[in-house]
Amino acid sequence: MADGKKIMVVDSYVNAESGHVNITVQTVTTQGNQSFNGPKKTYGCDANMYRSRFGSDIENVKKWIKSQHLAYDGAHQDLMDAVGKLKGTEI
Amino acid sequence: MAVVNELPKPMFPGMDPTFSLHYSEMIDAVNSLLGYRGDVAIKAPLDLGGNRIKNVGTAVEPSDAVSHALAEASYSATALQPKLESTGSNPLKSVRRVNDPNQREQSSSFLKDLLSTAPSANQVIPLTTPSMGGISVTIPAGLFTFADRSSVYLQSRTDLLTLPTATSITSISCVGNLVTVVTSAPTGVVAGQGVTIAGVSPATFNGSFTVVSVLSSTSFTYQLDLGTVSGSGGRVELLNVHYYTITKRSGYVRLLPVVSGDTAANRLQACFDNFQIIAVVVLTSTGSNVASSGGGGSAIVGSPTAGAMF
Repeated sequence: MADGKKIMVVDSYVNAESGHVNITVQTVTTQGNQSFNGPKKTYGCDANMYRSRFGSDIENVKKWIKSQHLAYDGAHQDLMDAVGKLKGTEI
Repeated sequence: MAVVNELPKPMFPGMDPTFSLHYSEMIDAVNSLLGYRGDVAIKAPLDLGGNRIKNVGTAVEPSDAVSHALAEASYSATALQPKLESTGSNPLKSVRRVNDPNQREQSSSFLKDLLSTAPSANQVIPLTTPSMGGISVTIPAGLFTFADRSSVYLQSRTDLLTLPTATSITSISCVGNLVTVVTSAPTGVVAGQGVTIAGVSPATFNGSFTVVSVLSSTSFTYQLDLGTVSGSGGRVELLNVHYYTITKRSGYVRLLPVVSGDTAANRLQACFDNFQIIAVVVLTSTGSNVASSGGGGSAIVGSPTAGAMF
């Protein structure tokens, strides 16, 4: 990903009772020697859906999470860029 | 008891009678101050100038002074402590007015674990959209408020969920207040499970109900007072009810294993082990049932209102 951004998996497990898959990710942005963590978000999938839609190829799951999380993280990026610069300025 | 003079009153023959009278009064006063005429009566406050009173005897009357030793043995914190214990002779009975907000605990583990206000009041609104042949449910990030008014920041999550199946109805009829349904294929329902009857003519058969009994793999009953009448067409839709919960102070949102009905029993079960429901998502074979999802704005099938359960 551009601008030193990486989507990192911070937790992943399968519910032993229901088979529900849980994968928690977080965008980590690196600028120079500093890194910033975005909000965590969990992506889940029930066992039937996982088997039928993603199969055994874990890359399919990664693609789905990546597409979802990019939209989640970047949904309000334009506002963040504009309003985020206001802090510390005189009005 | 006879009054005894410690100091005698000598006679002074030949002395001025006025002197003898004053002398006699002085002897009486000294004897009184020494206690030989009974209790020593002090007519004005006693100012000892900061000096101690020593050798105080055992108090007898309620107005008697007590010694330091007696006060320590009877009235000190150490002496009173065992009496004030809950198992003591004089336990403290009322130390806090529970309904007084000024005396309410602001940081109590007990309060923190109480169920909070309804999710609708916390604005936890699940977003559902069709996706990949199933449905995508997103719990948005946001604040969730507990009973003690503390709040936790909910972590967002998105789940891909399978829709429940629908089975065609081959016959449906009512006798009295019991409706018997026969389906074209096994439904897998069990007694107590929530089902939705849809598309039947007449439409009075339609709605969400709880299965009363299972007659066979393709036949079951539910209760509805229609008299004696038969219907045709329609389908049986099973419900997939998903409870989203959090635990204690964590903002991590969990999805509990799916259940077949949004019933009071299922909600209570979902709240065991310190789980707390923050959102409910009800799926039918055609998609999400928005009216029954979210903050629980609609009634649980055959149960009290959803809001009352939180």
